[in-house]
Amino acid sequence: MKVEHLTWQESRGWSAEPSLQQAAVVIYFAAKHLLEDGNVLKELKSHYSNALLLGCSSGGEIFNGEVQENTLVVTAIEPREFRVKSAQATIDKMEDSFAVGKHLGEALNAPDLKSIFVLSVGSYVIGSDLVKGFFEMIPEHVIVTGGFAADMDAQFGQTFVGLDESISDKVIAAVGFYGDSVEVSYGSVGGWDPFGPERVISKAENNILYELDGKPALKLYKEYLGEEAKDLPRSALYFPLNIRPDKGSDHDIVRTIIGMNEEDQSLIFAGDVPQGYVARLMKGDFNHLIDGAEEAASLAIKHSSLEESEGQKAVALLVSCIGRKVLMGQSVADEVEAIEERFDKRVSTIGYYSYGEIGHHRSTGKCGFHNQTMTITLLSERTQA
Amino acid sequence: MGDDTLHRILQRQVKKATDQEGHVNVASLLPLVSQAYEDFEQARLRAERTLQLMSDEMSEQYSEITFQKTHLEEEVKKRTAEMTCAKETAERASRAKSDFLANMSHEIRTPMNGVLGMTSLLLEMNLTPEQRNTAQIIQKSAENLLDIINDILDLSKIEAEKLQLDPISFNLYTLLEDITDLIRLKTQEKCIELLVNVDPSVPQFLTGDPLRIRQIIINLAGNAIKFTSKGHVLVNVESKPPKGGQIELCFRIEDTGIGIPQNKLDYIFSKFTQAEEGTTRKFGGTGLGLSISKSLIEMMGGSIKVTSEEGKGSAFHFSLFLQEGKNHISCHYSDFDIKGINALVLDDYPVNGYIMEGYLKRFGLGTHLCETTDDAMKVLLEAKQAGNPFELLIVDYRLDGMTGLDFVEKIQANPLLQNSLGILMFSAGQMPSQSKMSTLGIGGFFSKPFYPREVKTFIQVLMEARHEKREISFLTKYEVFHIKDPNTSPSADITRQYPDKQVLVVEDVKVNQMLITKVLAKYALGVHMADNGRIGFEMFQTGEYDLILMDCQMPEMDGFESTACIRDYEKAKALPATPIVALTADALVGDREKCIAAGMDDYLNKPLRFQQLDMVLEKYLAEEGTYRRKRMGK
Repeated sequence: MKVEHLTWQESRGWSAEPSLQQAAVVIYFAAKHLLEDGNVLKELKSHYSNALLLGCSSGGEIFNGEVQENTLVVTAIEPREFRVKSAQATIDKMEDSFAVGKHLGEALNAPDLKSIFVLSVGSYVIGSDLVKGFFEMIPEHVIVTGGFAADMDAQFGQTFVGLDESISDKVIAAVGFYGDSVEVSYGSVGGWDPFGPERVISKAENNILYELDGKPALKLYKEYLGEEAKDLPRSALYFPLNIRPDKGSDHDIVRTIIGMNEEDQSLIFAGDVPQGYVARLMKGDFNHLIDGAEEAASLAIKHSSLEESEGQKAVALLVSCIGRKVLMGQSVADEVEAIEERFDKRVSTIGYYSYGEIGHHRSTGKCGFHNQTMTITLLSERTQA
Repeated sequence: MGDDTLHRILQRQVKKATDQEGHVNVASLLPLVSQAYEDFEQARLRAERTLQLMSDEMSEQYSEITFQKTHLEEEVKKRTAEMTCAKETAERASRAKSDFLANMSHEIRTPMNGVLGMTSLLLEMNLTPEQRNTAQIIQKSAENLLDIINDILDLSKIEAEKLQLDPISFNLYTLLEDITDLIRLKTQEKCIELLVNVDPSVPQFLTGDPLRIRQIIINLAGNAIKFTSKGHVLVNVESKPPKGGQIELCFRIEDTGIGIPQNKLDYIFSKFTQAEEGTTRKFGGTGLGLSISKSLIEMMGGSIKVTSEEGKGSAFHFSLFLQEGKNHISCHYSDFDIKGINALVLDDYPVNGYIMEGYLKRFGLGTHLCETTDDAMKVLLEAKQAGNPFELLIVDYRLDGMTGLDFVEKIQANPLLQNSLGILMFSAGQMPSQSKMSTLGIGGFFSKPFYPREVKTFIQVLMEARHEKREISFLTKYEVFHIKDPNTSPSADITRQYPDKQVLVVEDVKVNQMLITKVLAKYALGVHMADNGRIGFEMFQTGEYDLILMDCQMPEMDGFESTACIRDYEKAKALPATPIVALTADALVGDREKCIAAGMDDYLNKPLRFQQLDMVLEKYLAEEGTYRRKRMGK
């Protein structure tokens, strides 16, 4: 497998001349305005005319151990022998999330399907339903990872997903990896600390949370945010919500707010918040978040055969939550550095800050939709025996 | 620049503000630094606010919990008060019920006492046969009525959980003998066999409530007899090895009667139930007996079950947990070694013969059981001719085709067997002529049911005498036990006389006064009557008495107060205590304790039972002049 990493920024242009003419798949992440402008994307397509192009708008880009803004980052992959295939679907309303997932799963399913990398627009989609839809059609052993598109500074405005030359704010697109030689491993860790009392989700519907312990959910968040409440929903990223089926369960999931409704004092999440679950607010300690990111890298390596096989190269696709960036500010680069230190030179990293991550749960192994995590997909091709 | 000593963020900021020539652009650097300051400021403020809110929430939860705890405590207090109130009401009701029972008991037993006592005195008079018959019917009816009243009182006590066991050390064998003596009459009337089999491992002395054990066995055996018209009633007793001083006794009371239908077995132990609706009318009884027995058995740690086959008979199995008896008195009257003696048992009723054979085997005898006289004769002769003769013959009086006497006569007429055997005879009914038995060379007689101790003693005494070629008088139960056992009390029908003793009777009811006077006159006692407790106390101060019989409930001054006055008086004058025995119709638990607490020595239930009275008089008057002499000596 051959890999080429490039970045483009307004002041400096391309970091290097693209050279992998035979690349089969190209994955990119870019600031929203660069995609809207369209020129960079055209250049990209002309460089890699035979490749599938998959990408999305981001809330910040990750390139070789650094966090950038207002740039485009790209990885081009030329497999030795594994196959790739893409699929896309348009979504109009949240309720269709499951059906779209199912449609994409069906389109990509094949006996030798190993893994799917999926990018979704940041609005209109209930991530948990989307994942469930996929697994209606594909076997459980298939690794599904990916993320939601985002925009700068967590404005929760329009976001884009691109497949080939076109981009759209209503598209979910995915690429499947096929064949015995492809190896995909993952690590998905938050590192947030639950605090304060445990509360029961006393009223909720799908991804809308109305009440915790019988009290309006929005009111609780406003209390905790104080003055920062004026920046809602962005400022709600400071306090993600940890939810579990019951107090004894270890299948805990982190949810974050993408919108709210003053009228009925509700909060809107990017994934489901089932009624009856137990919820706890979370806060981020920089060191713990950075440790979390590093742990995600460790898990990804542990699940791969990189340590046994010296010649094997890999691409690490980092999908990190915008909430981490909003909270950590300039310190967010520390989490990327920590990952970079964990990997050796055979692994090249690109990534972006998202409105949600798709990955497998670290303790249950079940694929799901997450928020506030660092989710790493490690893609490589086994060296020939 | 890009110095490693700088903070990592500043290093990064410097790197970002450095242009391609390596110069740091301050205008680019400052906004980055400023932003970092602002971020930290915000993060600090957020952390402080979070901490404050969290602590507020926690303390709110804490006060909520504290409130709920207080509320809960109050609720518990309230509920407890309600329950205490309800409990007190229930206890008041329960007390009222027991008081009512005690009163009713008193009210019923007092006239019953009159009826029973007067009837028994009447029966001692010269009556015409018709008058005697009438008086006997009165006596029988009164006894039945008393039984019914006792059943109902027992059941009420059990229900009110007022019934308490009164454990004492007792002789189980004597108890069983007493019981069988009592019920034997009925089996004789109905011509059925009464069999008692006591495993020799069953200890003789135990600690328990003999009156209640007696009540259970009489009830079950009584029922068995009631529902059996031919065959036998068996009382079988076994015991398990003691565990921590506790002995489990296993009783089986078996009959060959009408049996109990399978579908009725489950509820024959419930109250007011007999197996068939019509049973009470046909066979009599309150139907409370089994229920009471079951409760008593359970109070003694045991359980009862029944197996039955309709038309073939029933078997009641029950177990009791008793303590070992404390005063173990040896019951061997002869130490003669009977091991290895060859004995032949002749009985045409196999169950009976089987029990006897079992006893003999356990004593170490060689045994042979025959059911016919022809067979027995053949076996005896063969053994003699083989040089291994039998030394002992135990023969039933009633045999097939002839009496036991006829058979013994045949043996003594045979030159080979003449006088070669020690012979014992037993029977379920009347004893045959003693002189006839003696003439035929029969050494002794005992009546069925027989007990291991009895059988062994008979054999030992007989065989020891034969061994020593010593003449002995004909052995009967009384011969053996009266001569050899100093512990056995004198026969119940010999009334002991106390001609120089004075008894003060404190009793307010005229009929009872008359009855007691007449009864005590039989003992040749001097009787002094006081109409109530006050008069009794006055008489005590001026007279000299060996014993005071004190009624409890009397007008003016009751028995308890009168006793207290007497005890105070004795104390003040440094006099020895005169024995005071309570006479009371109150048969409820706690009365005995109440009497003892009031300073009385003992307790007699009304209606007076001669046997009990005998015991009390013997206990307090038998020792020559104990109390009065001492007192007069002062």
